[in-house]
Amino acid sequence: MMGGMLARISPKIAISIAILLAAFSILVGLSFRGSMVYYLTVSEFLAHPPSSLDDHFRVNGKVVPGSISKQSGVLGAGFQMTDGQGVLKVVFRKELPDTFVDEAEVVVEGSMNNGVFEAHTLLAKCPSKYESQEKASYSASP
Amino acid sequence: MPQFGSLCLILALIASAWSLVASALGALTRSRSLITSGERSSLAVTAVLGLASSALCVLFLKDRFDVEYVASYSSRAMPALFKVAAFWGGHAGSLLLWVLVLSVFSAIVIVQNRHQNRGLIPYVVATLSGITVFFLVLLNFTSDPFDLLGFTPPDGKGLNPQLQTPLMAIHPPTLYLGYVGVAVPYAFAMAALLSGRVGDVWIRTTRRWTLFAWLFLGVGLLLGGYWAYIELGWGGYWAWDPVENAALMPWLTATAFLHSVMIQEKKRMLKVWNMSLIILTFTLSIFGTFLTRSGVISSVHAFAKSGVGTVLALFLGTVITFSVTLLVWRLPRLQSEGRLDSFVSRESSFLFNNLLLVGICFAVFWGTIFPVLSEAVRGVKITVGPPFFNTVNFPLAMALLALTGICPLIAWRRASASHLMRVFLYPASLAMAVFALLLILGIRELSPLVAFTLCAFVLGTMFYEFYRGSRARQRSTGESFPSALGKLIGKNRRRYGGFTVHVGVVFILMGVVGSSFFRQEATFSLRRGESFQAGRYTIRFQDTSSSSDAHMDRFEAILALSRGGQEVGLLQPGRNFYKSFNQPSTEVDIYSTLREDLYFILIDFDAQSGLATFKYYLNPLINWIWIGWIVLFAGTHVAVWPDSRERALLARTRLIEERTFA
Repeated sequence: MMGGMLARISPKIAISIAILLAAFSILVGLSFRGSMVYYLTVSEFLAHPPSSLDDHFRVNGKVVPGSISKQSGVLGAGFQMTDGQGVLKVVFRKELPDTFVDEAEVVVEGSMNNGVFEAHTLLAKCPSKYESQEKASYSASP
Repeated sequence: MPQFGSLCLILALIASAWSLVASALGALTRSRSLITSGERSSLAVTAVLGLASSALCVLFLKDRFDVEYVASYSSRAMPALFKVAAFWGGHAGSLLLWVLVLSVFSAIVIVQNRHQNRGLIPYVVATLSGITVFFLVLLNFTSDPFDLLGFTPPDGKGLNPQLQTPLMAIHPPTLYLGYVGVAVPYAFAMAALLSGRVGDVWIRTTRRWTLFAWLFLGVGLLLGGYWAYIELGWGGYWAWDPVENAALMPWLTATAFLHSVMIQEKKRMLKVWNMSLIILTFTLSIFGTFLTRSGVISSVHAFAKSGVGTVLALFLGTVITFSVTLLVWRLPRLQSEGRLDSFVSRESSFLFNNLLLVGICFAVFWGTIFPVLSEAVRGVKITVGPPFFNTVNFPLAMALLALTGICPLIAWRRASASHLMRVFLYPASLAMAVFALLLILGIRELSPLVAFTLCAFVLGTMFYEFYRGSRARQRSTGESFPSALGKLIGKNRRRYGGFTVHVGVVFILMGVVGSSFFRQEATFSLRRGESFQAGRYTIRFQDTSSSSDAHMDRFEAILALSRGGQEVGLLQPGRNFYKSFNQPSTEVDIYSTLREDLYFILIDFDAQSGLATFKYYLNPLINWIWIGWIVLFAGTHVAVWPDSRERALLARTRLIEERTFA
């Protein structure tokens, strides 16, 4: 297929396409290496503590109910997150999304510092956000 | 009513299955009656799905909470607009919307083409019905929106407050019009392969459909971006979120397709490439639906983790196998009739444009699915964040931008050096002037310097093209300049519509570069009566206000904004608290000018101390993104407007093809 197509393209153009493709692969490879981040659950993260402070991680878990502590006038919050097994202390110092509430599913990205996970990004999914919950949750109402 | 809806869905499945069988058999046996029967049952599907969708709307408006889907996404207190929008608030309704749009498109295609494109249309109907059957199977057997709860709760859960904006009413349907619209050119491509009529008829017939789908995908992306921008916590207008990427990918390949079909129309080259591009675009649009629906890749949008993932993946596999087999089978008929010989010609610039667009798409695809791949292969999930997408795509986007400026200036076949010198002079001088100006303004970072210089170059080229064309016309006809300009555009709608779209794209890129590289932000805490400085603005915290209704509690801070001693406006960032959801909703307020946006968030208000905390972002040039989309929208309309010359050309191409096949 490609052979048939390339036969109708002059060598000059074919060579420049080849050079472009090579440059593209190098570009993809290099930027890839620079921005790879491990994506782990809380217990996976705790089982493999980062080897150095520079290591970057993305950790996924739920906000422990009642663990959110905010200070008036200070951006962000400190909280604990869990995946049902391990518990991780997290601090995030930027404006919080509205979906960040108790039991919300959160994904934080950052690194460990003195036993606390310092997150520079935080994504939160409200527990009931889009998905209908189990039918059981209606049963309480008459 | 719910039973009626379910019945409609079953009827629609039966009718679309018959339409598939009848059209396919009709095409093979050349049976006129079977073909007509296939067309009619496809039209019946549209009618029945229209009834089913109306039924679902009525159920929402009547607060029928005995229906599980209604109880999950609607509540009594919601305004009627959101009750209707809740139709696509969940998975089952979204699927119904998808298939409804598809059946409406099929009906339009049948009505428009059944007499003109007799050779293609049975295959087109069969393909479209095949897709319809698949989605109706999903609806009937995995997620019926008419399923009953078995009891009637007193009130529904309601739509999440973050989704209660007019954007919820228009963003998903717009995106769907785009996703589904791609199915039409795809069906024609498959029809061309199946029937062996692989000439230009399918391309010329579907040009408007492709533009339409491309435009709506784009507008869907824009609305999504705007929504994410004004909604705090969704990561700004673009975050390389998997679901955003999923919609971007088919848009990129559709853009490539729109360009490369011109080469086929003019030079009869790149036939296999065009087929591959439309197959890829359709596959990506299904993949987009799949990604949004499957929960395979975690995303802020992940609004449905349902079992349809596997089924959709299966369908995707079927589509790819079917299309590629057909393509390989017909390869001998898809020989190129021209040859690409000059490096500096418009043909090769189109070729490079295509390679770049597909390259961007590939990088985005790779970055999006890498977590899934790495988990499957190495057992660990590794993600790549926005830095990856930005580093890879920035140089590619710049190359594409440069091509946008160069391409219209160089001639078909081969461009001569003296010709190039003449046409490049003005745009290149403008670009250099802008470059110098940027240096004087103190911009030293390489990326924005390159980006803005190229933007100036492309704008220069575009305006030069409009100017040169109108002047030439003026000289030969003696018209006034405005009239010459108007007629120039009117007589070459595709060309100048396309150029207008390019101007829009340049504006969008200006906005993206400005707001990504020069964004400022700061946080302030202050009491009533105090002020602070944000960029060239002085902001005074005047007062607060609060109100309450059945639906929500509202709290706002009132800020007076002044610039150079003059008061220019009030900002009221606040916070709503929806009663049926235990969740606040931050309401940002934005002061917009062409130069920048002042984007305000109320972080916190401590009633005891009276201390309020605000955060602001200063986003330079961001409004050019929205302006660019308006220009792009207008340009596309110029390009799709009916054209008698084009219609005549299509009729001629069709006649030639009919003769070949007679």
